[in-house]
Amino acid sequence: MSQDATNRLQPRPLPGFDCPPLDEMVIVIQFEPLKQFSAAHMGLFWQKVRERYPLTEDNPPLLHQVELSEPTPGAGATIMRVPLALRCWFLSQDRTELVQIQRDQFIRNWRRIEGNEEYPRYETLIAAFKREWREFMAFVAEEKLGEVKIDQCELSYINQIPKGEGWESFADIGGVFRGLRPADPNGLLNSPEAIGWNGQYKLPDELGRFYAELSPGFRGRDFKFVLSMTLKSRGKPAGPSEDNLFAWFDLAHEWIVRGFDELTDPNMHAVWKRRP
Amino acid sequence: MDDFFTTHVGLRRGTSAECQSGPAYYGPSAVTMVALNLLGAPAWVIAATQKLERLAMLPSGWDSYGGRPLKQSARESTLKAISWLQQEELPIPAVVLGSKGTVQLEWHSGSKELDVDLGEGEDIGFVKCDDEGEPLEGRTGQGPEELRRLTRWLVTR
Repeated sequence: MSQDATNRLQPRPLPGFDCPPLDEMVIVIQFEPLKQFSAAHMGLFWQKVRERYPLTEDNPPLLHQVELSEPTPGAGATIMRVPLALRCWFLSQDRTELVQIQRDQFIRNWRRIEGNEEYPRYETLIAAFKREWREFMAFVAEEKLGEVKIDQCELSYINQIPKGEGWESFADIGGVFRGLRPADPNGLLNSPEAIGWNGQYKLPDELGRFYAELSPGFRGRDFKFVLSMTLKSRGKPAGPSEDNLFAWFDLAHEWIVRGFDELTDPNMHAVWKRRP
Repeated sequence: MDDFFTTHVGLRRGTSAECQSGPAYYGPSAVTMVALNLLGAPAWVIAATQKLERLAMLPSGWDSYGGRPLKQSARESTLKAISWLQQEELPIPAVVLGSKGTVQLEWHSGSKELDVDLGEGEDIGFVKCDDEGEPLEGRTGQGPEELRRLTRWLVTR
């Protein structure tokens, strides 16, 4: 076997960043709608988590989206169903953590509110998610709401890179994202008014897709000018067990971390304090 | 009865149910959003934000008369106002820095002119004028609906 092939077969350590530009992380489990799940059940579930999440907000429901392995002829690759029920947010006192529930989705978010909160790390957040998912599953069983049939999972990392931290204008964007350098720095297209990028990749074994999206804008939290880079894995676990479920999230996380590492420039890795 | 509408994203043909379901129900699971995405934004949004960013670089005394630099609160209020109005079809406004570090957005459309003052207090000052009467000066709450009401006056013939 060649050295190249041997290298490919050996598991590579996952890169880490001490100061990632992460603004929000979202973990989503979507399942077939629980027909009996009503607003009253949201209140009942809140009682169970109220100590950790004392605040609530009502929001319009999210669409029911299913990632298809192959696009249907002449159409997009996503089917959406729009539920008529509400989505409830249960928020921690400092609003950095929240659980969102609706009759077909269970979501947990971590986000920066002030901007100086330390990212608790995937291992911590997925462990908290696992605990709360189990609580939710126990609640569904207790209330006899039916079987939870998972049809999609999603893990998203929303990174925001402010102007002044490695870039000053769109002409510098090649120094942040590999592959976005202008072909000719003195050419006609060397100074874009705005620039964005989308990439879509298949996860192995038909486990879904990895999406990367880059867009410029002003961040809602403080209206700083940022490059927003959303990395998202979406798909369905290999089987219905909890092991399958969390193995899927680990894979999704690996793609996001390696994707971030591969898409961004080594100069920026120094700013974000990459660990080898 | 199934209480879900089904919609196929990406299909050009549609049914009435798809039309009814529409984007009003759509919301991302992420809650921290970029409030103003410049990609595909209308020309006036890009022009106004670029001008504002240039104004933010002016030092104290920029007008030779002790003019103050752009106040952070004025910058944020202006960006918020632009983000609230980004779906509106508007002409490119003049973005003017006041001597106290506040911002004025000035729109001209036909015979109408609308000036909006941002960064001075909680609410928004405005001046509306057209060729039919005296300029109308006032203040309004700082919110999307209040601003849209003003800009709709501007573009209504």
